[in-house]
Amino acid sequence: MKTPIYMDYAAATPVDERVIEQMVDCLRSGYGNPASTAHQFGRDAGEMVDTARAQVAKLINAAPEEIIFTSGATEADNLALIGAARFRSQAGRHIVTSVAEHPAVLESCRYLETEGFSATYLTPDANGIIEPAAVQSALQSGTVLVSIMHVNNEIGVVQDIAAIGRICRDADILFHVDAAQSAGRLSIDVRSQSIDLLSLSGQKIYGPKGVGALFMNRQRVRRIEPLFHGGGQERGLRPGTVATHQVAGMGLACEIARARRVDDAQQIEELRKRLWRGLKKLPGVLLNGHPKQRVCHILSVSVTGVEGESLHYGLCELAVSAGSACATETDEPSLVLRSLGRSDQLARSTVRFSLGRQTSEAEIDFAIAQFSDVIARLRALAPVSEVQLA
Amino acid sequence: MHYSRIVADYFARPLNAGTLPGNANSVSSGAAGDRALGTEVVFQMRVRDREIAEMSFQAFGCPHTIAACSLATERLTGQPVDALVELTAESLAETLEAPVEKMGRMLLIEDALRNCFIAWDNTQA
Repeated sequence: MKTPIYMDYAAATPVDERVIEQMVDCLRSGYGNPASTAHQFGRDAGEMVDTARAQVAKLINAAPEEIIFTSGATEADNLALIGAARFRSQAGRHIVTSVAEHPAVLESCRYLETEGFSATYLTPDANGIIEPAAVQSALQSGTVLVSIMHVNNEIGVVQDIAAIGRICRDADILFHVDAAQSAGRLSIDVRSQSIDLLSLSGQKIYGPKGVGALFMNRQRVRRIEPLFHGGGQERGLRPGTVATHQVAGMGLACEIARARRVDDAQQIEELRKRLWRGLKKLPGVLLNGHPKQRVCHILSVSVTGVEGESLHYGLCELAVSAGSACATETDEPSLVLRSLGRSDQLARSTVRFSLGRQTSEAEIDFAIAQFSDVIARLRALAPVSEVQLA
Repeated sequence: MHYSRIVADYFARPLNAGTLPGNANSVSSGAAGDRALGTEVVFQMRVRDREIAEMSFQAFGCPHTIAACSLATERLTGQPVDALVELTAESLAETLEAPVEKMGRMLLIEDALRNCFIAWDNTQA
């Protein structure tokens, strides 16, 4: 087995070979500017963009004209929050979100606060769930936007976005969903789930980095304020020449994701369950997040009696994530893990495994063995060997 | 985070890890740190004729902490007991090529070594 083993699919996925071919082909033959409709080169490139737009739209049951291409989910989040909040600022200046959101959402809210908006940051329950009733209670007369992610990137819990969507729709408040981690893993239907704005990322679905998309519900979101200025591309909402090869790659990645979603999710969920069956036998290994309401590919565990940096350093054969910044003592542990009731120390001793299409059973078994060895070794080195079970 | 080759080696194969058999008269211990704050170290040593005959450590901490504890026990074994208070955090950091943000942990090891000396000194009264 080749090591280190890649188990960081929630950070970035390997690019599908067909996507690579599509992108290379596009770079070779689709070099015209997709906005140059006066000649065939431009029209060819424009067609590639149109195809990609339709492919992205189909993954979430949207119409192609509801898709705005961006540089990634971070830009899509910024555009959705800042663009929609500014445009609706006459109606009100209050936003509802949660502390467990991606920094792209949290920092956009913080930024809006400097512009006179206020934000309510909901705290998830001990399982990482944002209760729809909590969203309902947080709504005010001036609330213009609610932003709740579909799947939490650190712990993998799935939020009931359909229920939250209904609440927002009933109150006529825009609902934004960061779906970077759920696309291609869970069914997304922007119609039945009452979603008004939704962010997607190419690199999380076996597509390229540097491309994402924002869905804008045409019936509900007439206009948002662009962040960039200087061109009419993407209906003037995201000016700048569309990166044809990037969006073509993302489009095909979405098409493949749609075709493979059910099989992928089933296969990867089996692997995640196998991993947890192995890890939960070890003393002091705690699952983060709801035991059932979770996405197929993410498993986050905290380990008692083991220092976080050494845990990660010891797991050098596994390409995993911390799930929280823990390199130095001054770094704040993850808000998500702390909201689950994990101590700072436990939050630092957290490992996020995220699995994907290329993960094998043998790799899972190797990961369990490695994990077991490292925590046993570190606990044996520690002054007090008894394991405190939280 | 930068981990030098020497840190990697000590982390993979720490020397003198564990405890020494004996009682407080034959084995002196010195501790420092707080596990809840991320680092806790304990040194133990057996002294014969004012010379450190044996030394061990236990550590809950980062790779640099584990490496520094291991390095300290290796350096000090066979040395006069006064060497415990002469070994500095700076010299551990320098050998391990530890980044500056690890200095606090090196100082904590220095404290634990001094506490070990004090514990031994108390048995000499």
